[in-house]
Amino acid sequence: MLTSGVVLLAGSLLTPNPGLIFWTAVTFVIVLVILRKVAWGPIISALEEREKGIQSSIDRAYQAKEESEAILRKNRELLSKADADADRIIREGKEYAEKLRAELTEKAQDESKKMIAAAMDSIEQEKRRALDVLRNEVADLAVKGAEKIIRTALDADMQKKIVNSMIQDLSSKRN
Amino acid sequence: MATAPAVPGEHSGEAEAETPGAVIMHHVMDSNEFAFEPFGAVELPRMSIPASVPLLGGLDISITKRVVMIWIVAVALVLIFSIVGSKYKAMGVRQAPSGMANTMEALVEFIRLDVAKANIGHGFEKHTPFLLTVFMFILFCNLFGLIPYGSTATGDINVTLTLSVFSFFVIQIASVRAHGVVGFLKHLTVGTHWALWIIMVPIEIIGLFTKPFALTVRLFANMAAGHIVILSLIFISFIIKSYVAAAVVSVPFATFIYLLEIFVAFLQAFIFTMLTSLFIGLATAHEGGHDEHDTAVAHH
Amino acid sequence: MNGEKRFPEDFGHSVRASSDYIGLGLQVSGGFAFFVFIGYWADSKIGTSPFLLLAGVVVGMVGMALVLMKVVRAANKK
Repeated sequence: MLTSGVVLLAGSLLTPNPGLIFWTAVTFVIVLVILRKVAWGPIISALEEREKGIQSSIDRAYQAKEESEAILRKNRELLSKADADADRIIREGKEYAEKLRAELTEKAQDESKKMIAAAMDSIEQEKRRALDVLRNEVADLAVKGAEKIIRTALDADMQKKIVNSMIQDLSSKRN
Repeated sequence: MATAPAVPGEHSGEAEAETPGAVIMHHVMDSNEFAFEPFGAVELPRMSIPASVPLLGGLDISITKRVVMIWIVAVALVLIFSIVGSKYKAMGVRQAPSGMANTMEALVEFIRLDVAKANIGHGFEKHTPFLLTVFMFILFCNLFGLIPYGSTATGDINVTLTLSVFSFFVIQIASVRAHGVVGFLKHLTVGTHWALWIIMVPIEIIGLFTKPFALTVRLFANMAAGHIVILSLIFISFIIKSYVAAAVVSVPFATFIYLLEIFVAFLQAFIFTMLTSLFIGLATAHEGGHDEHDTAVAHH
Repeated sequence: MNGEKRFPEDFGHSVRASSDYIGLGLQVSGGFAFFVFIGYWADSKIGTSPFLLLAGVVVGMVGMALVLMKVVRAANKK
C-alpha cells in the first residue's frame, strides 16, 4: 500500500501535463491583462494619490508649524524691542527730569543770589543817601554854628574853643 | 496511466480493491472529471489542438479538474477586483475604502510596499501588477482548493511550474532592462578567461534556472503535502475501522491541519511573490553585492 | 504588528545574503550533467563510444571548479 502510494506520487504528481500548462498560461495571462486594466490601475493610482495627499498634508502641517514659529519669534522680538523702547523712554525721562531739576535749582540759586545782590545794592544806596543826608545836616549845623559864633563875638580863642568843642562833639556823636 | 484505480465509475466502494493510498492520490491528482462524490460526477471535455497548428499541433489540452479550478479562480478574481477597482475609481481622494475594498487594500498595500518596494527598490512600480496578480492567483487557488470538492491547482507541479516560468521571464527581462543586453551577457561570463566561456556560459544559463526552480518545488511540495496529510488523517479511521479513532484522532487533527492550511495558503502565496520580487531586486541591482553590504551595515 | 512587519524584512535580508548559494548545488550538478549528456549524445551520434563521454566528464568537472572558484572569489571580496 505504501509502495503503491509512493509509485503513484512519483508517477502522477510529477507527470508533465501540457494541457494544464497551456491552460494555466493562457488563463494567467488573461487574468493579468484584465486585472491590470480593471483593478490594479485604479487601486494603485488611488493609493498613490492618497499617499501623496498624506505627504502633502504632513508637509503643509510642518509648513504651518514653521510659519507660526516664525510669527512667534517675530512677536517675541517685537515685544523685547518694545520693552527696550519703554526702558529707554523711562531712562530719558529720568535724565530729563534730573536735568530740569538741576537747571531749576541753579536758576533758583542764581535768582536768590541776584536778589541778595539787589538787596545789598539797595542797602548800600540807602546807606549812602543816609550819609548824604547826614553830611548835609552836618554842613547845615556847621553853618548854623558859624553863624552863631559870628553873631556872638569874634573872639579868636572863643572861636577856637567853640569849633573844637563842636568837632569833638560831632566826632563823638558820629562814633 | 497512473490514474487507473480512479477511473470514472469505479468509486462505488469497498468492493473494488481501492486502497486508501490510491484514494488519497486520486484526490491529490488531476482528473478528467469533476466529482461531487455521493452525487455523481461531471465528465469534462477532452480535446487537443489540431495537428495543423504549427508548434503546438497535437497538444492534448483536455479540460481537467484543475483547469476548471483555475477558471473558477480567474472568474472570482476578475469579479472581485473589478468591483473593488470600480469602487476606487468612484471614490474621491479624501474617502477611505470600506468593506471588501478595505480588506483587499490591506493585501494590495502589503504586496506593493512590504514586498515589491522593499525588495525591488527603484522602479518597483513596473512590477507591481505582475506581483499582485501572482499573489492573488496563488492565494485564491490555495483557498479555493480548501473548499470541499475543490482541487488545489497550486498543488500541481504543472501550474506552479508555469507560474515560475512567468516569474523567470519577468526576472530575466528586468535584468536585461537594468543592465542592457551587453551587461546581461557579460554577467553570464562573470569575468573568466574567454577560452573558458564555452564552459561557463552554459553553466551560468543553468544557474539562471535553478533559483526559480527551487521556488517552484517549495510551493508545490507544501501545497501537495498539506492535502496528503489531511486525507491521511481522515483515512486513519477507515483503516482502523473505528469510529472512536475517527472522533478522537482524525477529526480534531484534520481540523487543525485544515486551519493550518489556511495559514499556509497565505504564506505560500506570500513566499512565491516575495521570492520573485527578491530575484527581480537582485537581478536589477547595479554592482551586485552592494545591497548585501547595506543590509549588513543596517544589521550591526 | 511590529513582528509581522519585521518578518518580510528579515526574510528578504537572509535570502539576499544567501542569494549566491540558493541554486548553487543544482547549478553545479546541472552543469556537470549537461556536459556529460552532451558527450554521451555526441558519442552515440559519431560512434566514438567512451571518449567524448569522458571528455564531457572532464569539461563538466572543470566547469564545477570554475563555478566554485567564482563563488569563493565573490565571497572573499565581501
